[in-house]
Amino acid sequence: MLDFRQPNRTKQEFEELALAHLDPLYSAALRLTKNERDAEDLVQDTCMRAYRFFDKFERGTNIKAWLFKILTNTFINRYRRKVKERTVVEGVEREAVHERFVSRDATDFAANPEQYFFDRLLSDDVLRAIDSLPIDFRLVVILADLQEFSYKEIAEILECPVGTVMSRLFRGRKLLQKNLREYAEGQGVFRHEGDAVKAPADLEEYRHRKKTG
Amino acid sequence: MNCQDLERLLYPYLDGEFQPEERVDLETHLSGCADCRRRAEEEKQMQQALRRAARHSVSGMQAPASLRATIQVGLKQEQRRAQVGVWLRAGAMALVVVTVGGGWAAFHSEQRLSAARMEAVQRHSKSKALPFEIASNATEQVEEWFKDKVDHRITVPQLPKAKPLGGRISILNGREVAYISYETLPDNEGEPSRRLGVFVLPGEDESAIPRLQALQAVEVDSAQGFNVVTWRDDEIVYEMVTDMDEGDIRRMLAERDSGEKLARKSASPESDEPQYSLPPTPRPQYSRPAVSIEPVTYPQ
Repeated sequence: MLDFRQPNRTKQEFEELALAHLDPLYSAALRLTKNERDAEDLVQDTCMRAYRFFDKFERGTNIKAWLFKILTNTFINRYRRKVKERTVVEGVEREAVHERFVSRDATDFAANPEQYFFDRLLSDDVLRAIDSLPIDFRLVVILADLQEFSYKEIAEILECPVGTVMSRLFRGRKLLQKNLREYAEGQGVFRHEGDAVKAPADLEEYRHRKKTG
Repeated sequence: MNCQDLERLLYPYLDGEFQPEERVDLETHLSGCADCRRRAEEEKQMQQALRRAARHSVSGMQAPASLRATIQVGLKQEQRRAQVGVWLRAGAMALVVVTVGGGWAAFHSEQRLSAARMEAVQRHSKSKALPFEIASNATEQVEEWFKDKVDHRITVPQLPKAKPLGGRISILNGREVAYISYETLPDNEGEPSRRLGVFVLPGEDESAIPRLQALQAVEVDSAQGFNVVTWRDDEIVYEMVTDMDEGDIRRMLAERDSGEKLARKSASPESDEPQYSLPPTPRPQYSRPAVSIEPVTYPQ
């Protein structure tokens, strides 16, 4: 039997479930596309596709992860080529940043320069550093550290093995730390010896080893 | 767990991905190893600072109101498509709303016309499912049957390549109207035949009927996947919502047209030559162009 109310119900349900996540979707879209106009387009495309596929979504499962999967797919398929580069910090801005890191309480700084530095990290610094990451690393860092998905959820979203997620996250975060340090070093905060090159983690391998003794 | 393992597995540990036994393992090692303790603490501080800054940035990041509004509009359009899709999937290929004479004049505002279309769509689906009250493909028989059942004269429209199957009474705009069901006669073997539904509406005031207009074609826009074809024939106005593409529509109208020409020629020497031409400038509402093909837009 034909039911003309069904499209109404579907739309309502979609609005209640999916549009609740509009803000996180937008913030991730901003990090991926690096400009507001494309971020809005990306989110809109994502929502339209999600609505069309809504009957395929299994009610009760993680809708946020489902939406982010559509977001990343849409981004990779359509927007990746269009990404604009953010402008570099120049002139006056650079000085203000310098001030923040350089004018310091001598004792605090001397005791633990690393800690001092990280305590003064502002969201802008972090966003800037994240934006400068290559896309594969940027994606996992956004999902893990900005959106706080689990490894399993990230693997679902990116449609790759958990091992790949861990590997990219390890290298992405190390690169992020390096970027942040270099940025602060550029402001003359402190000198830091290079990290010894570390191999990325492999939790599966460790677990397997433990099992077989 | 040894120092090498720990160094490489710090992130899963800090991210809370460890099983309870694994946590215990790691923390046991930490309690006995100052170096690893230092490394773990360092990494923990960095992650926490990163997360703090990240959370702060994300919490302040709101999608612009315009984005939400644009998405709502998009959803509404999809919903309309779905609604029309509901009855199309049920097998109805097209719906023809026929108004007799001045019924057209009554629809002087686009809104009323759209409301009638929408109701027609819904009624059509219901009517389609119901059995015929008069089953016949003889038009005179059908017309005769309706004569004392509805308060206006019924002419069963002759549609090309489609034969009437039967009819029943339906209610549209609060009035009892005739509903007639057709089956198309496809050209090719194996091509499925489809059903067409026609409502025949009463005219309001037959004296207000404007003079006949020549058949004219207006632009087709099938962006949304559906077309609404409107054409006029004497005092009868046809309106059809269909998923046929423009080519088929024009072909159908052309066939109908050439058939009409022959009929008219034998009936009277002076008749308007039906033609297809580009849309004219906007006309007064009661004398709409006789053929227009435009995308479906149903109000909420």
